[in-house]
Order: sequence, then structure tokens, then C-alpha cells
Amino acid sequence: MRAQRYLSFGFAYYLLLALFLYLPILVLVIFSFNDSTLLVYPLKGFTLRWYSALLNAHELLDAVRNSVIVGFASSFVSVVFGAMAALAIARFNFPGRGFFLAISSLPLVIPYVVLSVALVLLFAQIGVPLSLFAVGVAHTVINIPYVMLIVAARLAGFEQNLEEAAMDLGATYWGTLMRVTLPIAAPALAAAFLSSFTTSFDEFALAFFLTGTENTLPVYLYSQLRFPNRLPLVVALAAIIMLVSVLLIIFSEWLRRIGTQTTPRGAE
Amino acid sequence: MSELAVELSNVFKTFSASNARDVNAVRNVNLAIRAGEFFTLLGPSGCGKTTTLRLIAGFEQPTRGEVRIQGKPMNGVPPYRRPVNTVFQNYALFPHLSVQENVGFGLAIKRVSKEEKKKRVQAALDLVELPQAADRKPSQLSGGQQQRVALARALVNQPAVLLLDEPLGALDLKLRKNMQLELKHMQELLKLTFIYVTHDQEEALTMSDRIAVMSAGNVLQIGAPIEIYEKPATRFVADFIGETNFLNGRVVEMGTAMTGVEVTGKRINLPRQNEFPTNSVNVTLTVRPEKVGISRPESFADEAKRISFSGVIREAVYIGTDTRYLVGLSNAETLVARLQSSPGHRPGEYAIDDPVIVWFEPGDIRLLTE
Repeated sequence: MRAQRYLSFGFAYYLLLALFLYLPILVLVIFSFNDSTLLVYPLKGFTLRWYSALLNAHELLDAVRNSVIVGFASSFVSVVFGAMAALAIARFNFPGRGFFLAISSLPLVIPYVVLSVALVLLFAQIGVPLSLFAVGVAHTVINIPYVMLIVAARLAGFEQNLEEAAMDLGATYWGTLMRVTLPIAAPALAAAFLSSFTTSFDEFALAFFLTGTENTLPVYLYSQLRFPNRLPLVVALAAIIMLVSVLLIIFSEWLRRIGTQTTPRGAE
Repeated sequence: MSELAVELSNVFKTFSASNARDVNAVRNVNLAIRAGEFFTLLGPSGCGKTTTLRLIAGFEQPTRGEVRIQGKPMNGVPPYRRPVNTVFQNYALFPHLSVQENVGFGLAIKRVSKEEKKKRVQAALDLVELPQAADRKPSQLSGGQQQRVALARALVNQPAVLLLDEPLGALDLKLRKNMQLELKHMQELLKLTFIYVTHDQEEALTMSDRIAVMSAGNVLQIGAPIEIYEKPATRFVADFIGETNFLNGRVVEMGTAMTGVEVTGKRINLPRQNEFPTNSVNVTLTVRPEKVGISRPESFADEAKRISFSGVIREAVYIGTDTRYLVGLSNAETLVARLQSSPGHRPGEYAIDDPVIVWFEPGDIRLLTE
């Protein structure tokens, strides 16, 4: 009886939590179909016109394109550098390894606003103009630690003697990397890429400080909040982005899982 | 046969631990392993046997000393340029490749032509009796099948020496016994040099041409199974291989053909075995339980050369074909005797507290100093 009461209490708590998390998203989706420029109840009726209007909102689509470009480029570079760092951490016991790990994870805990100011100052010093390129560099900086941790976890998870086995069978260091290490780490690399991409895609502070005339999507959306009649359009776009992000996260989580399941059973 | 497959000369391997205490995993190891030999490195975990194997494979470089394979110095040569292949303890099959891709891995790297690769992979799978498994993934195979794939993957490259690191450790007892025989047959069939690492003394005795017993990084004794078992060189070897008895003794006389030893207050003469300084050297006498006889005092025939002590049965454990008796001697030392059930000795023949005579032949005793 007692256990059951706790169980139902736990369930109620969980329900409340889920509601708190997902109700705003639900409201967003509902209003994206609402036939009114005002985001107030009662709802006026169902429409798809905000979605169709999106197709002609050139500035907005440009912002989406910019975000996608920055997202892809910065994620790609993050994965390359992050994976190299992960290899170093997981496979080599070099002096200062702990220190290296600590400072590479620092971007995880520095507030983005602080990092933004620091980067603005730095870029001004070395003559990098405020631009999408600057935003991309900033996103690479914040994403490398994530990639590193995801890939290092995967590398730590598979038997190191797979690499020894490859060398024993005649593969050089690079051969082993290409034929064994990277293929086995591939799901983790893909997961790291996707999670980097989503981070970059909805990052606001760094993009706001560092971009020049070309806006990324979050920055553009923020600027549109001042115009009430554009609001429903923003809501519709936000609903689409929500959906795409959720799908990407599910996909990357799935990749990460199948990645960890391919280790053979058997020996111990 | 006299050609040497692998030689280790004065090889040391020291690992520097993070707490600044170095670990000497291998200390001054000398091995001369002949071509075509089934050579076993035997010892408890942490004795340096796996490190020795890894030094031969090239995963470790010696801190001092030299490793030669087929006469060629191997110091500084990476694993992928050595004519050896390894069967790993946990098989280390590539999870993302099929069985035939696993087996063909070494050939693919050597850029062997497609047809020849296919032929050799199939031949290797036939050899390990897994002809049907080619397209499966390692995760779809049982432990025993994975073990066979690992073996095929190594053998297909036709190495000069096959290194096996406790390959049967993860298999259940029955499968392990079968694989022991199969491995031995395969080795004889292919006339390959096998270097086999195990902590299982029975496995080592069953399969090996020669065994090197290791402890704490040192090789204590190298010899054929019968030498290792019958003539252990040290107390550790005697104790590690099979069950044995130890008695404390003191050398009191060194003759030309015999050694006089005082044990449990009694003077006995043994055939001369080692060089001992004449006076009062403490030694350990060792005798295997199956070499110990038990008789009742009234029926004991005190033949001239037999060595006998009187004692009392302390424990009698029936274990099927044998009965294992623990006999207390006059000075509180004990001896274990294993008597086979036979018309002369029926199980339960001696009961606890029975006074008995324990005896053995002088030739069955080994004198050990360390």
C-alpha cells in the first residue's frame, strides 16, 4: 500500500514536470495555426497562412540559411578537432593530460555572454571583422568540448586491444585509425555532429555579439519581436524548428545507442 | 628443428607507475624457443607472462635486453612489421566487420588479390571448423565460435610464430578441454611455433612441449612437462604445479653419490641432487602426494632404501578414484598422501587417529633451497 502511494505520488510529480516542460511548446504549436495576429485566447480558428507566408519572408529565410551554414561549418570543424582531442585523451597518457582535459572543458562552464565579450575584444585586436565567420569560430569553441566528451566516451567504451589486434595483423597506426578506430567511433562522431549543429543553430548570445550585418536565425527572431504583426510568422517558424530539433536529437541519441551496442559479447 | 624461432636475451621490462614506484614486470628473462615448438609461459596472474608475450608481439618494447625473431633483432620494430600474430584473451574481434572480413583483415592490408583472399579465408574457416559463419557478425557468435574466428584470423596470415594469450580462459570447462586437444593437433599439423600463455597448470602440462614457469617477473624453470612436474627447481614451481608436500630439513653430510639430510629428527640418505655446502644448510624436501605410501605399523615391510616416518591419520577425504589422507608426523609437520582405490587399498581403509607408517622412495624426493 505504502509503496503504491509513493508510486502514484511519483507519477503525479512526473506528470507535472512533463507538463511544465512541454506545455509552452504545445501552446507555441497551437498558436502557429491560430488565425489571428494577436497571441491571445480565445483562439480564432485554424489556418496555415503563417506557414505559407514563411515561404515569402526572404529576410527570415536568409537568416535560416545563415544559421545552417554556420551550423554545418562549425560542427564539422568541431568534430574534426574534438575527435582528435578525444583520441589524445583516450589513447595516450601524456604529461599534463588532466590539465589539458580541464582547460578543454572550460567553455562548458563559461557563460556565453562573458565568452562573447571576450571574443569581441579578441577579434577586434587581431582584426577579424564581426561576421558569420566570427560566429562560426565562436560556435566551434563552445562545441569542441561536447564533441570531445562524446567521442572520448565511445573510445573508452571499446576494447583498446582491437587497435592492437589491427596492428598485430599488419595495419600501421593510420591504417588502424581508418579501418578500426574511426569506423567503430562513427556513430559517436555523427551524434557529436548533430548535437553540435543543434547547439549552434539555436545559440543566441555569441551570434548576437559577433555577427555583422548577416543575422543568424535566433538573432533575427529576436529582432522581429518588436513588430507585433510579424509575431505569428515567428511562431510558425519556431514550431518548425522545434520539430526539426527534436527529430535531430532523437536521431543522434539513436546513433549513440547503436554505437554502444556493437561491442561483441562473449569474453567476460 | 634446432633453428630458434624466438630468443629473449636478458630482457627487462619496467613500467613506471604514476605514484613514482616502478614495476618490474619482467626481470632478466632468457628464452630460446625452437621452431615448431609448443612453448608455454605459465604462472599466476601478475607474474609477467603476458608482458613477455607482448614484448614478442611488439606491443611493448624491452627496457633492457634483446628480442629476436627468426634470428632478426626486433627491438624498435612495431607489431605490424613482425612475422607473428596474436590470439587475444578476449578475442578482440572487430565488431563492425563480418567474420570473413575479420579473418581477411590481415590479407586485405597486405593487398592480397581478391580471389586468393577469398580462398585463404575459406580455408582458414574450414580449418577452425566454422565454414558456415563467414557472413555473420562476431556478436552473433558464441564464445567458443568467436575464439575459433580469432584463431582463423591469426592463422590465415601464416605467421612464423603464433602467440596465444590465455585463449581458452573464457570458455567453459568441457569446451576448454576439447579446444586444448584441437589446438595441439592444429599446431602439430601446421608445424607452427606456438607461444602459449596460461595460468592453468593442467592446461600447460597437457599441451606443451616445454614450459617456462614464471613468478614475479622471473623465469624460475624451463623444461618439458615431466621435468617441471617431477623435478621442480624451486619451492614455487613445486607448489604451483600440482599438489605437493613440503618438509623442513637440514643437510648434514655431502657424500659422492648421496646427500645426508636430517628431517623430523631422523637422518635419511638421498641420492645426490645438488651441490650443498656440507654443514647445516636448511633445505626443503618435497614429495608428491601420489608418491607417498601408507601402511599399518604391523604390516610395514621396512625395505632397506625406503624412507619412512610414523604418524597418525588426521583427515581422510574420499574423492572417487582416490582417497586423500592427511598424516600428522611426530614433529607436528603433516604429509598429504593420495592413495588410489585398488584391491590393495579400499576407500575407508584407514580411519582418523589410526597410527600408520608413511613411506616413499628416496628418488621421489626433491631437495630445494629456495
